Amino acid sequence: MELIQLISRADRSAFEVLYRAYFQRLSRFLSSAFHNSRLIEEVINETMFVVWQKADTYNHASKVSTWIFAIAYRQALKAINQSDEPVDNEVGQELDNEENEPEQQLSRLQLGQLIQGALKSLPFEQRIVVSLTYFHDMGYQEIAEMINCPVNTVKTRMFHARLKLKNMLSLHVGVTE
Amino acid sequence: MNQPAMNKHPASEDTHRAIQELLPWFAANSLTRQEKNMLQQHLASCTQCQSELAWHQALREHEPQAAIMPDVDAAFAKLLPRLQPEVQSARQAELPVELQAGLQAGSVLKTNTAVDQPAPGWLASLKSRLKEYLQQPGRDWAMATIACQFVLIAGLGMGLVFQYGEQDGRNHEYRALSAASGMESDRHADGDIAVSFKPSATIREIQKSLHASGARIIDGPTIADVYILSVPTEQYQQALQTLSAEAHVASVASLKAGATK
Repeated sequence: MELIQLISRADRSAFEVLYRAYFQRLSRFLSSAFHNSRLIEEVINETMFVVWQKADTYNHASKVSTWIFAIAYRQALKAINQSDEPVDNEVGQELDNEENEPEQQLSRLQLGQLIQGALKSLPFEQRIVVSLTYFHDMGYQEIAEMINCPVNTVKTRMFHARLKLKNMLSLHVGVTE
Repeated sequence: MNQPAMNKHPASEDTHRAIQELLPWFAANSLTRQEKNMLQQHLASCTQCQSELAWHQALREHEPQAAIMPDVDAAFAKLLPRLQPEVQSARQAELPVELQAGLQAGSVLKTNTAVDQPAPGWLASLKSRLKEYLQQPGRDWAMATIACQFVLIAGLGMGLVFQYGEQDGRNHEYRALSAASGMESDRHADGDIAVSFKPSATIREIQKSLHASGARIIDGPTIADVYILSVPTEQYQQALQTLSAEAHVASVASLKAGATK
């Protein structure tokens, strides 16, 4: 029997198994929106509480992962609207650091920090598409379904995000046009 | 590394743009077979898109790491009390009607004493209703025995919860056996698989499953009776399949899903 079916029967053990299976994935996804671990934890718990309550309504129209991520996305938007915490949307300081000369050999950690700074500067909707595409291996159709928008919107957001990232990282990520 | 215009693929600008739009998903290997074939053909002769693809791949390899991530045990402990009413109502639905009526007096079997506070006299109320029930003539003694067992189990369960709470002075909060003291755990050993066994599973059957899968328990059981398993990397997929196929395994899931590309 599937986990979701067991959960729809109020099986707490099955729920904990699912919770643990998704905790790290959701943490990584939500860390692209929030920097506060308390807020990330709250959004995960709100998400999984909806899963617990609505498991009997899951209709197999999408993958379980898409369904859960869609709930997480909506909960993240809700948290952003309710929170006073600013959503990252500024150019990371790392990008302005004079020490980051193009010819300088950057460590993996430094490059990761640069990319993180560049991602932070993207509008929230673009950042979510980038995160789901690059780091969660989601197809564009799955993302469109998850965030409830047309497929072309997903492609366009990714395209514009890529242009911005390229501008910001052209000196550091050694492959450019 | 600017590419000379002459290296650009002769395809129309529209086609080129369409291909470029799909490159991020080609890099992530999440396109359909048909789309992949189309892109592979294009990439074979378009250096600009080859360069673009390399850029996407470089970015994918540098997922930003969050400085502080929440701890799964502490987070689940906070959520668990909210699950109780549904669990309780579901379990009550399986009980005999007489016992369901008795249980209406208060929300029993809370693992968290701070949330959805039971009435202070709930245990007394339950006892009194049970007493009334037992005193009614013509009742089936088998049912009465079940009722007594239920009260005993409830008492033991509550005792266990209070015991955990008192150990660290946080009696308002459920903590898994593996729970860390703070939200950001530095000791949590990440497992590979989470599994729960059917209540009917014997120790011998559980041991057999563990031997067959090559897994070992590294954490648990939690209050929800979930065990965290570790398996050698080379046996990971096989272990998941083996456990999924075991008749006495109730639920199983990978803790690695999506964690690595």
